Amino acid sequence: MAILEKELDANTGKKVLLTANYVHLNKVCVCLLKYLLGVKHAKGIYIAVDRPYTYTSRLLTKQGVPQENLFYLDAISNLSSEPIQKAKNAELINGPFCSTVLEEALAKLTNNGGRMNDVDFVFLDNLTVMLNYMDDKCLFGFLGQFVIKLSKEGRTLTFTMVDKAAHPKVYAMAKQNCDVEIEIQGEWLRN
Amino acid sequence: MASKLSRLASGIPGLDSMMEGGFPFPSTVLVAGSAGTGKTTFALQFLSQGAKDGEQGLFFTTLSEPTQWMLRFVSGFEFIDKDTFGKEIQYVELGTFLRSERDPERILDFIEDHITEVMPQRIVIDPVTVLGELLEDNYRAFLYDLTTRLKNWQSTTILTGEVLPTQPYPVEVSYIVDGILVLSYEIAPEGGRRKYLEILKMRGTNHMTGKHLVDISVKGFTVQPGLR
Repeated sequence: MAILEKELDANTGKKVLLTANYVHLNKVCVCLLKYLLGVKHAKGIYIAVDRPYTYTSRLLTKQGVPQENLFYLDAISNLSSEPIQKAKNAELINGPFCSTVLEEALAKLTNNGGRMNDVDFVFLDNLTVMLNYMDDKCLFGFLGQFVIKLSKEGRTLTFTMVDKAAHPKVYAMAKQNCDVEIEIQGEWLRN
Repeated sequence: MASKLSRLASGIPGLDSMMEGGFPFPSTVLVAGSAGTGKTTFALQFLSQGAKDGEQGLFFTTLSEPTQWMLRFVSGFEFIDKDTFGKEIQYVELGTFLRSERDPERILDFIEDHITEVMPQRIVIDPVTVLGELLEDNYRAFLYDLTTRLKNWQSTTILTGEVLPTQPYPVEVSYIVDGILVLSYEIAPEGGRRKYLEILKMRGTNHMTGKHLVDISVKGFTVQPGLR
């Protein structure tokens, strides 16, 4: 955990690609948000495209990570068949499909009453699973828009990608859109 | 270009080559069989592999056998690393909770509470079929919620299912899992029993079919693909 924090500290305000083995994703999420919310007291947005935001929220609660400064944008709850849980700090969109995510998600973030003004970080979790819902051309377009529309001096944009070796085109695209890649090693996540 | 499935090594020699390198991750897999076919050994070997790979495992035992006795009887297997007990592999007595609790939501909450604390990549519920007897009409909905949530917690889960020798697998569970492995035995012509493993279902996976010979020895559970 200390090594990951050091890497994150050194790359504050940059576009950061976190690559990891899928089995480590839960811990990466907790470590990253524990650092940003608990240590740096930053304010941020978590974009959920892999599972309903409630799972991350519950995990963070159990792991003692404060969430007062975290806003969830959830692109998957409407597809999950689980009971929809609305909360003040969460907004649902209709699905991580190409036509939806490009327009609705970014519009909600950038036009929503100045919500983005004092946001220190945006965390997209995760790029690889988006391939289940859109083709690579659409994903490339989305990531480009994500970076262009959300970049701001001092703001950290983080996106995770799992199993990069299995998705070389997506990995190459992600590398083009980031300032730095942090390749998470399993041993960094051990307590 | 679709997302390729991640895979998790099963820990069972011979099995991964039968299913494109391992279990999909995340997924839920039913390992069904009658008494003595090796379900619990299989499940422990799966968790032991995870411990070797630096992953965290969580073993929920229901009303089948107390953990102390289960561990005592399996401690002789070569794949068991006792240093992992209570650390990389954690044991939870779900059975004790089930003696007084029948509310499916509270049972799910109990399971999820442990999952969020431990953050396992591998989970075993041994056996899940006990819950059917306790939950009755709520069982199918419970299984649906359970398997959905287990995958959203980003783990691969083995659910063991007890069946009678004449029954291949518990039907209620079969509909909602991603994979079904059936463990069975036949009386050999020369006497004794031959044990088998069959992959009935593994979503997203080009897997071998038919029964394949199984050996359970001090080395643990081994499949011999192609040998019938």
